[in-house]
Amino acid sequence: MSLTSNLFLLFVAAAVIVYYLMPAKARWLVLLVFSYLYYMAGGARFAGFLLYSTAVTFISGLMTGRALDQKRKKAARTFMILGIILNFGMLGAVKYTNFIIENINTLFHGNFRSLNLLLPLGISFYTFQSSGYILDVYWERCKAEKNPVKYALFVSFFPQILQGPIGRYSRLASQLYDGHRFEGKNIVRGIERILWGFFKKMILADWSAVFVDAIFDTPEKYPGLALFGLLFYSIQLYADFSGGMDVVIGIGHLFGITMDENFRQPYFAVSITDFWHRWHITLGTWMKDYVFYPISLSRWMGRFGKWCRKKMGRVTGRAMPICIANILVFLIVGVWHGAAWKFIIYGLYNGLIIGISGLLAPNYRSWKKALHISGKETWYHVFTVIRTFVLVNFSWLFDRPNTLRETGILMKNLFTRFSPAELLTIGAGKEGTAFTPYALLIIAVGCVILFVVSVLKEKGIAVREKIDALPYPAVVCIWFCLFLTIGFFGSTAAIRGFIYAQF
Amino acid sequence: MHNSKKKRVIRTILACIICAVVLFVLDLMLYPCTFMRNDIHTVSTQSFDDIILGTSHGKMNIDPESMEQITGRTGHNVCVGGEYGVDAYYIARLIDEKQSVDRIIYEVDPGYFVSEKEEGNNYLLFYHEFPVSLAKAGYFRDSIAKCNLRTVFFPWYEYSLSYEVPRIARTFTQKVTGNYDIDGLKSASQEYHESGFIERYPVDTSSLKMKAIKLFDKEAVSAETMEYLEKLIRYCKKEGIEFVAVTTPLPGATLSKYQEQFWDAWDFFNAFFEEQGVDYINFNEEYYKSFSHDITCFTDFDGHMNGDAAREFSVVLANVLEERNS
Repeated sequence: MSLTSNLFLLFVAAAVIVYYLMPAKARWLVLLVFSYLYYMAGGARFAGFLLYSTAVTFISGLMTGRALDQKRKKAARTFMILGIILNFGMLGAVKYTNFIIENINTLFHGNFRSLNLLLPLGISFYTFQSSGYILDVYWERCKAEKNPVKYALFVSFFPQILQGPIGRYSRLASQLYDGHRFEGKNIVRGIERILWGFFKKMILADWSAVFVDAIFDTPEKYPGLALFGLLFYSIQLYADFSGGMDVVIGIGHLFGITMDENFRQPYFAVSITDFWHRWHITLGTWMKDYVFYPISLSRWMGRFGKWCRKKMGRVTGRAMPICIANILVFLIVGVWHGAAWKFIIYGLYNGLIIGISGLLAPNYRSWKKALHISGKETWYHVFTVIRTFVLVNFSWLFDRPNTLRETGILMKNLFTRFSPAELLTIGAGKEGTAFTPYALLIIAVGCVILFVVSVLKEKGIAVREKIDALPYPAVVCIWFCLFLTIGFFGSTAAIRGFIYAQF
Repeated sequence: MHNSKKKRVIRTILACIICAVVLFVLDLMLYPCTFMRNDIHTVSTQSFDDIILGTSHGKMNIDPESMEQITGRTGHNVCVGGEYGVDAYYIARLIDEKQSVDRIIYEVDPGYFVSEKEEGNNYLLFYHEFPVSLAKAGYFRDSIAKCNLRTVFFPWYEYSLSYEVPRIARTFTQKVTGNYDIDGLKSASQEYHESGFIERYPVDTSSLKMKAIKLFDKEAVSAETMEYLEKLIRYCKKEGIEFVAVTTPLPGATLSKYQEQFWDAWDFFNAFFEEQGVDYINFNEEYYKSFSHDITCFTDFDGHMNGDAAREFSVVLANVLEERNS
């Protein structure tokens, strides 16, 4: 059930009505029932995977919590590890088995047959969310949930199950279980956020997708457009994923639930590290809390750090363990994105930039000092934003192309061919090339709107709150006009699902 | 209720009403008057003995008026390019809800059974014109519900890049005044008739080129399309409506080029309709010789006839139907 379908809107409307009609104490049950209905609408056979993940992490969390209460730290650790292995084991089995088989066949000229495995919807998201819960219990950041039905809601909450945000038990669970009172302002806040998400998805993401698909899927046909392909993909990916998040978070508001934000003007980042603090934030913080810190603070890493300090000097030796931890974290981020070498390279690319930047940080400082750059200059800030944007765009070369061969072609074309006129030869969906200039104009205007809103938000101006403070007719007019733009300027090309709903 | 709260509720309701009115007016202005508007209006306000359902081949090759001269039965052609099983089923239900039809002639184009219906306008073409009815509700549930939200709020969205301002006023007036005049449905290449038949003007066939067509492949038959065809047949049987399936003649060159695929298709549909216990009249197989397959009868290699040939063919079809009935 796509987030932009009529059925989904009806489904959400029904869920909201039933939620507020029920007594406050039973409202979380309404969310659970609707969550499972939603998940099973995508295929009842997938529910088994969700139930498995829920059961494994619930039992593991419960046993871990009990062991901790009885001061049996070792047993708690065993239950935690077992839960993590069983939970990630399922993800690994369904998502990566065929990838491993393919690589074994290639390496050893084997002839193992690929397995016909189901890939359950949203498995990467709910596996991470539920595994985070076990670790939180183990680290005593939260108490283990004793009610399995309530816990099932935390894992399956329907707006977020397909594409996140990856929620934390400590922030999300109590909100899910509380029976929120009906408040008009929550409904308004939710609808506004949903509309903004639809605007991003149906206008910017879907129009950009027309050009992205043409340029990336047939790079030989449009050799002069590699640069535009990357730029359009930047627009598509951001508008698609953050638009989806706006819809998801907006739906949460309808129930009085505030979910974690997943984006914070990522293209204004001044470094790749900063970019990952602004892009897919909940995955980034998950990795930081559950992978980066445990690795960088581990005993073996401490020993490695000591060895590095001895061999490489105090400064480099100190930075080296962090560099290694970052590379490992981003290797996992790459693997999380999909079972393909291109994603592993994508992760390593980010990890290496962040890791090496950390190692070279003292050099940067001395270079800046030599060039009399304090780092507060506007031009320097703009330079770092553009530099990061270029680096991020380059990373898409390992993300969007279907194969590494296509990546090679695009990379070559990027540096050797440039022919913007080829853009006009790409048909604007069903409308054909006659309407391509309009489509490009719509994308350009949409980007300007998005840019202005992002600048305002970057400056700390709460745009939505500012609009809502206007006289009532003006507020209605602004939001209704935004809604109408979806009709007037939304993509007329083939309807596309959300990119991150495939994970 | 507290006064300020009451005020808030009232102004919210008012805002919703205004927004709904704006959307309604935009729909009146921007959704074009298609021939499907005329077709659905006609079949839901008048009674006919025969209703012809199917694809563009049916629309351009079957003229109910020519058939009436032979059979003495009134008829209306509700075929259109993009009409899949689900559409035909709900059009039939709508017609049955609004009038009592004797016979449904269902034109079968094998290509439609191996392709998936795209969402958006392909559904709206029919759904948008349906009057309020149970059929409309069922059609919404089975088609529009899974489409993107613009199909409900902005049914005109797929035309948004190609509006012609002078036509907006005309469309609006036509809808507001309930004008179903067919003059606007005439173009340089074809003409829509009151009977629902579209007459294609003859073309210079010597310069025609064969384009790629969607070929039948029994492995790729859409389960959904077959499901709706079966539902349609069951519904007709239940309601006592005679159901006849027809495949109109295709150009000889096309049949020769894709002989294997077409034979597969005819085998498949012969078996299917036999199993369903309904008549299947195929002018490319059993009735091959009943009508010319020369390209001069057509306007393309796809099998869309010119108006004169279509009228002649309709007479042949009517005779075959009469023969089988007697």
